[in-house]
Amino acid sequence: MFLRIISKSFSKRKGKMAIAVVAVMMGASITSALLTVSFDINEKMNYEFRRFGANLLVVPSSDTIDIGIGGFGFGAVTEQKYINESDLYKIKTIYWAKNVLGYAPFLYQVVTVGSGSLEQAAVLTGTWFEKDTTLDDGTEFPTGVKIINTWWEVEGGWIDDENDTTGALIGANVADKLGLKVGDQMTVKYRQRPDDATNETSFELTVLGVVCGGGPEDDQIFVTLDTAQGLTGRQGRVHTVQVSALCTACPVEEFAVEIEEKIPYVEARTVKQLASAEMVVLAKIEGMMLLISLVALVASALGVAAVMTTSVIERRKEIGLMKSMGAENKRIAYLFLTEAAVLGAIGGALGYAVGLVLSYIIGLTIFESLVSPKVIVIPMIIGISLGVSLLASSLPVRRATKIEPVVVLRGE
Amino acid sequence: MGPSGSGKTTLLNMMGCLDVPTEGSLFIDGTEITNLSQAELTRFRRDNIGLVFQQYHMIPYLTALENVMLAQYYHSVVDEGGAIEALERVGLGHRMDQMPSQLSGGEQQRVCVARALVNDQRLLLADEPTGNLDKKNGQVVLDLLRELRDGNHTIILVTHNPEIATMGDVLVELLDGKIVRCGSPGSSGRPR
Repeated sequence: MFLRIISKSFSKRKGKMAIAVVAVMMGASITSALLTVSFDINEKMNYEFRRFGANLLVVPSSDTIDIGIGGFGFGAVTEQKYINESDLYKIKTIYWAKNVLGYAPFLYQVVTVGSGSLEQAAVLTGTWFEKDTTLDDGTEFPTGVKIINTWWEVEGGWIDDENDTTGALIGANVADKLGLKVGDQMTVKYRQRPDDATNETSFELTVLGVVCGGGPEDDQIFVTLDTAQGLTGRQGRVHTVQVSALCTACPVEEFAVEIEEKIPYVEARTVKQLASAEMVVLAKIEGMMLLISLVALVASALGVAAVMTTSVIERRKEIGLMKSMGAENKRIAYLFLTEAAVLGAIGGALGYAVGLVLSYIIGLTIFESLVSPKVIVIPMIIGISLGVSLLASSLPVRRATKIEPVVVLRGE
Repeated sequence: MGPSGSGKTTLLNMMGCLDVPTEGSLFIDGTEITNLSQAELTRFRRDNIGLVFQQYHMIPYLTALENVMLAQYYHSVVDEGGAIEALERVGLGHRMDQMPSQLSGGEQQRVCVARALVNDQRLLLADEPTGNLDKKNGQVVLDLLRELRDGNHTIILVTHNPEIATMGDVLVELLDGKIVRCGSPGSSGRPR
């Protein structure tokens, strides 16, 4: 009987109920879209930021004090100015290991490229491109510059870490200056001491690709780490490691501390400006979303309250009649609160669907990618809609329970 | 019975636990209802009293049958068979699926009578039940009430129509809020 009263009451007041449902739906859709995007946004934002490069730079801690005389550098005051390649896997053993998207080691050497009038100095950089590394638990983890520098545009092809020992990926500026293109050979000369020509080593590299990233990489020549280490006699050593960490629940500083604990002789520096900018942007976006959602939900609540108040006023005789037949206040309240709950549930469900479309639009326009629906948003939105609807109905329901049957039945 | 403003409806509302007296006591079947809380009054009314109003109040979006079932719902449990039986008793077995707007005034009042008697409450209070009906429909409703009285129900009927007043076993006449006469309709009664 109760359900019959509810369903018939709804069908009798289709128009007003539709208004209340739309009111709830509008608030729910905005909240749903913002919740969906919010759940996705941290991930998306981090990927967006990661596109601009690594957010951690690992250097040997003793590599910070260089000495020199008359412009000639003699290196660091201590022996340890490299990171051991064999320690790199430890970056993937920190507590937040799952959030380490990738890392790439770098070994730098100034070399001379070309011959005759085209001869010029360039930085030869040994690195991992997409190297399959083995972690200490035996699992494979592919990592390298291709993983952490996803925005690099490479004409030609990438270098195979295992097989392309004489292949090079050259920066766009280097290619321009030397007139090199994919497939060309180039001569690279390396001196252990810049002023000692007798100790010069010369070798040939084949240009396998030209990289354009808009940064320092455009002025460098990349070869495999093994090649660079073999050429410079620094087997097993690297200068720096760039780490790309994806972190939403933890500050990036924690990564740095943990890496320093795992590899005690290194210093892990956060790219502070980038990290703090990320957090400021995220906090602002989340704050804005919360504000918009609150405003939308308050508007919904006002809409529902208006419809429910009208409904109680229009149904005064009905309420009085029910009371005269023995309906207690709690049963009258139960009737109206159930109607409010139905409104909330329908509005919430529709709002979720509309919100999903909105979140797709936001995802496409802001992040240029699809926002993935989050199942957790469904119960959250239904719950929020029910809460808003019930809360907005509390005053009208209170008014309904105050109605005295004798007053309304005699037509006052 | 009594003229307009004599206090008939006020007295009936108090007996129906819809209103409370400002002073004095009211006993119904041995229970003093003036001391009851609002919730207790509602329960007492639900268990003991059936109401028929001059304006035949019905829930507009429920059928005749559902309106009768609603009284069962708020009383105890819904029994569709019992509700149909009540409607058949008032001669509306064939109109049970009609909406209130599809029923004549007389039919609506008969639905109200069916609703008042469906829970088998012993006391039926009727406030000018024929006041809005034509003579023919009014007679049908009065016949129904007489039938119920004969079937062991106590019916208290308010009217200002002397002809209807004489149909009862006891006639109480009010004037300006006071009982001026109480006795069998045929006798001169006991003037107060």
